[in-house]
Amino acid sequence: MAGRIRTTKKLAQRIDRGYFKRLFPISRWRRVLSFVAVGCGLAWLGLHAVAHDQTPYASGPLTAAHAVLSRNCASCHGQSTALGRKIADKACLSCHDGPVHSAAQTFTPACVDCHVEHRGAEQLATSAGRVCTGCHSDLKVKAGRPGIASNIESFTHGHPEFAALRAGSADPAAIKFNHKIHVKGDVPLKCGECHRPTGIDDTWNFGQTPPIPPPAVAGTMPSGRLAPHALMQPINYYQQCSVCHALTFDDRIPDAAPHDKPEAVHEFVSRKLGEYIAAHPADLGKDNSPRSPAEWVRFRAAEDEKQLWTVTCQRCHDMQPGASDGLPGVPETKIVRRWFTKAEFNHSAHQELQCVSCHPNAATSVKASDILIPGRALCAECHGAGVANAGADCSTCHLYHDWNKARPVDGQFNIRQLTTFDVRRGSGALLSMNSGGDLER
Amino acid sequence: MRIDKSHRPWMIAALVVLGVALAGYVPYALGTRPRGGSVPGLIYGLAGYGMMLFAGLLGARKKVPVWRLGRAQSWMRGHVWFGLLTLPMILFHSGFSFGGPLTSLLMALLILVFLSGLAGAAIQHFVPGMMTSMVPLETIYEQIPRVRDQLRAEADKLVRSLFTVPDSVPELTLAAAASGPSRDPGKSDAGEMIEMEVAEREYAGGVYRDTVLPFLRNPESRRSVLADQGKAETFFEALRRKMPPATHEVLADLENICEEERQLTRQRRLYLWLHGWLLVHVPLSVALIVLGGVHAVVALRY
Repeated sequence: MAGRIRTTKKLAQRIDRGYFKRLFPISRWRRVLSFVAVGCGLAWLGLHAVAHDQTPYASGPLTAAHAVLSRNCASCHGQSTALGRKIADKACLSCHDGPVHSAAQTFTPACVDCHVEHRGAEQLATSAGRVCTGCHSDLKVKAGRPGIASNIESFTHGHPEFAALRAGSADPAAIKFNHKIHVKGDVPLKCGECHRPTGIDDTWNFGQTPPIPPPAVAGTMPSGRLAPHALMQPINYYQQCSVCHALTFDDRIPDAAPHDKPEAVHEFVSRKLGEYIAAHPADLGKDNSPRSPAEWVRFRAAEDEKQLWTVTCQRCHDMQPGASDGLPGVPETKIVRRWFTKAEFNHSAHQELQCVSCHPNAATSVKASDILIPGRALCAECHGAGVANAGADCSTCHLYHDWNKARPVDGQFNIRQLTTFDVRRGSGALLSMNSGGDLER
Repeated sequence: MRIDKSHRPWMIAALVVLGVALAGYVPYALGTRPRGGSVPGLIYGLAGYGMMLFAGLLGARKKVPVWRLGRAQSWMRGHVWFGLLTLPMILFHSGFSFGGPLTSLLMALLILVFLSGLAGAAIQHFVPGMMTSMVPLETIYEQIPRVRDQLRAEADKLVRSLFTVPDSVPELTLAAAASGPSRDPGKSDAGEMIEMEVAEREYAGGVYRDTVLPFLRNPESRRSVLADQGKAETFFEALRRKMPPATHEVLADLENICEEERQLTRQRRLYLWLHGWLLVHVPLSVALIVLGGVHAVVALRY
């Protein structure tokens, strides 16, 4: 349809040959937007710089405990190296104590090898298992052979059975107890009626508040680092036993004997019988009993204590033959408060489980020497390998530092030193302070 | 830029680099917690940033087209394939973590640049072909307004053979209109009126004033009947039936001018697709490189 002719020459004549020297809209906006984008970014950083705030440069949010340091990178990053400023252990140790792991260890990692910061809500104290197995998969010690398993690769590979469950182990408690009778007997009890985590002050169905404090926790882990409801309260006669197993000793005396040493029991029995005969003098000489009150008390006490030592006390304790004073001995009960002395276990973290899920033998055990804690394999059913597990890192159960060797830290800083970044100094607040530097200004 | 067989060496090179990087990352990530500050992390970071700089140099290369720095097409292929590698490299550098405020911003910028680059590569692959088929009368994009002025002048010149141009029709905007494409010599031109009835002349003037001229003044408007090719053909066919045969050649030229206007409209739209994504890609890339440099300096210091 075209009478119009579009020759190359004519088409070329249409074009302004200097067009490329000018910026047209898209090119101009590309340039403007580039300046705006860079300008916005630099302005954002500049505003923080003016405010002496280095927060934007953090490689991730600090944990809450260290958040106060977030404005000043140099608080921790103070050690100059070829590749910039790194975190020296001194910087950590100026605020924290870090007791040695083991006197026999051949290698001591830097604090930051295990405690990785800038990981947000992740627990700073939690370290990946591979940090531990780096040594424990082929454990070397300074001298001799390791006293523990030396090829632990994970909880499911190389980790030994728990010490309490290894061959030849038995519950050291010097007491007689039959779980089966208490769980399936005439008065079947529920686990929670005798076993309750620490820190829960509630009335007991079959006991009363003990008049004596519970025994101290044994083991290498300080109890202060345990979770509030981590352990079960120790079995105590008054709390768990006294209602059903009252220490009554004479029909004439309504009061029960104290759950105490034989000397205290003897003193209590003699005093109560003395009080009784003083109030009931007509009983003197009755049933061939002595006619003197002192003799009567001695006579009745011998009878009542015989019942106590040989029947009532013997029900739970292996009473030992009497010494020169005629009173028997009672072996120390040695009830184990913590089975895992080199690991932490938290009952409250497992409260959604039925007790028998982890203690399946409790209902059938007839001897107190039966150890009823679960074995490693049972734990590994949840704390196994793979993604779908409840966590099997070493730090789930173990602490690296031996906190029994902890020492108090002498605080050296004021709030301003920790929260501001001094561009004039710009480095190593914690490190230089720890090295004797003076940051007062 | 079509992604064709000529890209194969670059694609293979990129895959090899990615494979090596991945082979290094897997044992590194299994053995320790990946961090940007570790030695492998720094290597990945420097490699990723180096690739960003290389990709960014494409813009600089275009500024000096005559320098003997390799073919522009090679630079573009390198830009595409090594630009694609920046994201995995930086993810390996960061251990798939966004980190703090600045690094999160950088990661967001990188992802946006990466996605806009992917979109741009797809657009650059498909749209040029569409441009060729849909816009055979393509001109230089920046010259479209100037060409449109010339088309309007040419139309104005053509219709002077049909009727007297009324005063309401603006004069040609370009003095050089006469230099535009014209009909063959000897055919009717400005100043030579074609013989026809007065009514036909008035009708032709009305049609030009009411339909053709508004379209030529605002060719991007979709409301004009001439904005649609099918409707335009019907319109001119009807016009030819009403006008004497002597005018048909002029009408054909007018129709041709309208078609060229439509093609220029299509070219503008396709051009916006072809280059509009750069309004996102380029500014964010520049910001990424500048702020990435700040991050590198500060991170290496601490």
